[in-house]
Amino acid sequence: MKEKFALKDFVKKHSSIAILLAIVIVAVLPLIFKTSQTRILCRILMYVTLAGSLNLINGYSGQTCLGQAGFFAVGAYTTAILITRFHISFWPLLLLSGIMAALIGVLIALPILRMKGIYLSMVTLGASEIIRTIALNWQSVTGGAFGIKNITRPQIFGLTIDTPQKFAWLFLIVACIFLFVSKRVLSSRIGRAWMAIREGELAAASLGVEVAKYKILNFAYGAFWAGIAGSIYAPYLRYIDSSAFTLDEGFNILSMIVIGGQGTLAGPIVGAVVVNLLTEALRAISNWRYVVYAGLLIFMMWKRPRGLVGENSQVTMVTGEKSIKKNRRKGAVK
Amino acid sequence: MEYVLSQLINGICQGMIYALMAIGYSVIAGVTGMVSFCYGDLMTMGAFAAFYMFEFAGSNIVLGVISSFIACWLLGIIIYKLCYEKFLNAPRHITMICTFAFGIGMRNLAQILFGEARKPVLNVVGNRAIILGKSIRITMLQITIIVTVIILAILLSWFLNKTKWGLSLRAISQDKTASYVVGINAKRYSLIGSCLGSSLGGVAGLLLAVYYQTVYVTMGNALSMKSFSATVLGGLTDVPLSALGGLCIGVIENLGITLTDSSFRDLFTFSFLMLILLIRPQGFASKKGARP
Amino acid sequence: MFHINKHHTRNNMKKVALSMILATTMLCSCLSGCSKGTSEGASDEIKIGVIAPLTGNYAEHGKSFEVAMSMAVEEINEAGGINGRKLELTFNDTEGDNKKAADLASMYAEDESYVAMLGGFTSGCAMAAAPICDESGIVLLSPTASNAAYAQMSKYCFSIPNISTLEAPIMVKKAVAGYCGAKSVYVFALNSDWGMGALEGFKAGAEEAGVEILGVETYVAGETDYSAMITKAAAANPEMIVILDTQVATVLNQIRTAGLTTKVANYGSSASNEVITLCGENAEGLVASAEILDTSKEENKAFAENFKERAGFDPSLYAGYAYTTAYIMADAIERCGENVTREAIRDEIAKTDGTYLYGGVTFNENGNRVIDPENASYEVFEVQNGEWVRVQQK
Repeated sequence: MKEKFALKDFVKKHSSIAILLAIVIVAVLPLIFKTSQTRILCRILMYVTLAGSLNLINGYSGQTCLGQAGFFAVGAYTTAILITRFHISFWPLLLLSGIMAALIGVLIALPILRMKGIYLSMVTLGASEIIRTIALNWQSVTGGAFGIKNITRPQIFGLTIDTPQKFAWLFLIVACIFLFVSKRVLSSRIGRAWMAIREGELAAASLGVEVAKYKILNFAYGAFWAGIAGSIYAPYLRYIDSSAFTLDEGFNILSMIVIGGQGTLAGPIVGAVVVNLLTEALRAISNWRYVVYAGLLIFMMWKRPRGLVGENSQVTMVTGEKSIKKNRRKGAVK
Repeated sequence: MEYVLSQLINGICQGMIYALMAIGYSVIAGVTGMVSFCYGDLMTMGAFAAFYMFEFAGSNIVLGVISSFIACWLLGIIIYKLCYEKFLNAPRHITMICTFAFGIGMRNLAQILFGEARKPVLNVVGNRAIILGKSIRITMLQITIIVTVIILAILLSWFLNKTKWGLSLRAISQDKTASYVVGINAKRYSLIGSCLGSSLGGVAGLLLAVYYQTVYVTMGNALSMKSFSATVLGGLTDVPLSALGGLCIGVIENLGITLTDSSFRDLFTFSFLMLILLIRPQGFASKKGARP
Repeated sequence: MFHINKHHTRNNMKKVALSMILATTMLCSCLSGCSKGTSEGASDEIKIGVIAPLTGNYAEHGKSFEVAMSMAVEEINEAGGINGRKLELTFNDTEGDNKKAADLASMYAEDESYVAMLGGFTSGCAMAAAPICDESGIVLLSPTASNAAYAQMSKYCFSIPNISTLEAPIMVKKAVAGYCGAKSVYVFALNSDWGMGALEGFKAGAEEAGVEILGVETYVAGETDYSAMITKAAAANPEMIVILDTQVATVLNQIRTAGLTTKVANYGSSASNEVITLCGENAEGLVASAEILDTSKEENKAFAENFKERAGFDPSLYAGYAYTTAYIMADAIERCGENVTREAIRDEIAKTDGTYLYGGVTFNENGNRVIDPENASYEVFEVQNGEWVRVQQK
């Protein structure tokens, strides 16, 4: 216990050093790990970006989007189609996939400006299913049920990114860029506008925040990074079909950010690590795996409803009193 | 013309099942104010309860309805205690994840307990069809389903409008705080509402099993989103409008398939939903200040 | 308000840092802990890795894989194993998720004690695993990956199932035009790689055999309500309805409850007792000409009975294929003699030429099984009085 607190203190004092240290450690991991472990690391790092992008929508502007798998699919298909048909280099496609996904994000954001809560979620969910249905049926472009295979791997300075090791670094770099850019965006005027919308749309509007503009921007930004994640996913797996972008995938991403903690940059990171490692670690109990996993998810929600790194472990008004008392005892209430 | 009419009948029959699912869903959503992601698995459980009843006591649809009703009532208690009670005033995504997790757990447990294979539910209703005119075909099965749904809907509307319990449930779904003020035990009635909604879902599952003549563990997956959509169309808390939403989705889907291809089924559902929400951002419900 | 938020983000940065450190340590410890069990020194057993969807939407088939392959391996081991060594299967769950299938394939590939892999239920899973097989030189023999492109992806990839594009024309010729003598058909096809391939083949075959296709209806996997399709088909008034699907029971039931008595033929996996159990009387008169488990042979009957006893349900075509792959693998390993290496196994599997559950198996240069129209198991079968009966071609 004592050590943990020491670590906490160190991190608090030198947060940038600590972050650098963490990045370096993760970057070294692929050198130590076996391939299969590196692949799990790749998956986790991909979800860091993917769940993080959803978190920017759900956690920062307070709109519950359930269709992140759709944006993910747009990114993956854009890259896969253009790379296999027209042999365009991967790097411009990476950006293009993000932009395509962002455009779709804008398209979805426009009609939902008037909507709230569940209605809004329903439209995002519907849009995600529509994207998947199109991917399944538009055989001449997306390969339909046959999917797209033999997606060329990206090259940089004559070096092909072909091993999981190199992909882990690519995923890591992208995740770091994502976190860095998002942090800057969040502390800028845009990010604060999003949070103002989250706390109260009317109040935000009365303070001069153009709610519509910032909501659209929010969706576009979240979708952009989901598209980027999809764009790397396609050449990483070398084969994509529509079955990878179901609603269950969307809920899976959602569960990561809720477990980690919505509205915190760190939440999705923790969520991605916990969810992926948990499902791998539970392999030993074969059939019972998902029963236990479900139990653990509910348990975590009971214990930390705001997520593992969330602000406060209490959620409800009623039980919230307890936390105020607790904080008062600590003298933390200002 | 007759062809379109028989497709319309198919749509209505399917819409009826969606309507029943949506009724149950809207009761849950109404009293708890929360979304459920384990509704599809709940329907599967209802179907399995009926399946084992049929095995045990022969193919009697009334007994089947009773057993799935009771089984899902009990499950409804568990779901309420685990996923709703603590989080009634919390952000909605927490219950979403809890019910999502509960659904996964239930599905996988069912796989272990009941086995992975499909099981037949045969001869509950005979293979007969009434042919009207030249080619309009109404099957006995469709009639059974429509009749069952209508009976349940009448019973439910009597329950909600005439009984003390029902009135309290409606009060809670309109305004929780106000009903608390007038002396309604909100927690207790939320529990009852959640159980009632689950039970209706279970009966919908039974009808699905009879209609498709098989039960299997993943049968509810695709349909859970349909009932969710129908409920959203109906304004989330309004029982009759949710039923209307279900009916509309059923009809639109079948007419869409008539024009194009079955592969596009979900495309029609969700495009229709998005279109309606675009025109009416709160579904068919017109009252301002309905729960978002 | 904005001031508070700024404070919030600064606080956030510390949290990012802290959680990244914690997550990293967790990652290191967990991953190194997880892998300990698998890499212990080589034992006398010959280990084969299996990837199968044991949970999730395809769990039904994953279970079939598990039961059928374990049965085969137990039989082989009871008969003395392979050159005195025992076979051992390790099952891992893909959930039908392409990513996880690829990760598992790589786990087996890097563990030197695994000499080969079996499984990959969906073509997607197999195709996601194919690049890994290619890079690490380990065989993946799939019982069910029916996408014709899969086996071409690597010389280490083999697949047993029929290539639907090649096989569907045989079915048109033998069952639809031949046995039933139908001139017009309405086609229901599953919108999957398998179903679309079959549809392509079926269209070509129908043109050749002079069968008119009145309409085609495709539907996605997991479809439950076929009433709109059935009404469409009824309106077209075909002589026959042909279902190109691997799971025929629900469609067939709904066709019959709609009061339609049109003759139904199926190409897919229907030719097992499964469809009779699930459809009862509705299955009566169903014609099929896929590969059929010919239960008049003693060993086939024994397989079907043992399987049902262990799994609690009738074996589907997939179960039979899974059983077959385990035997093909065992035979290939046996032919390797003392030198059981991944490379040797690949070469021996490519040379496979033997008779298994569904008749003879040989592989072409792509790694797909060679389809032989004259093969005995392509005869036409019909359900009569609750049993599959071999029928004479007219």
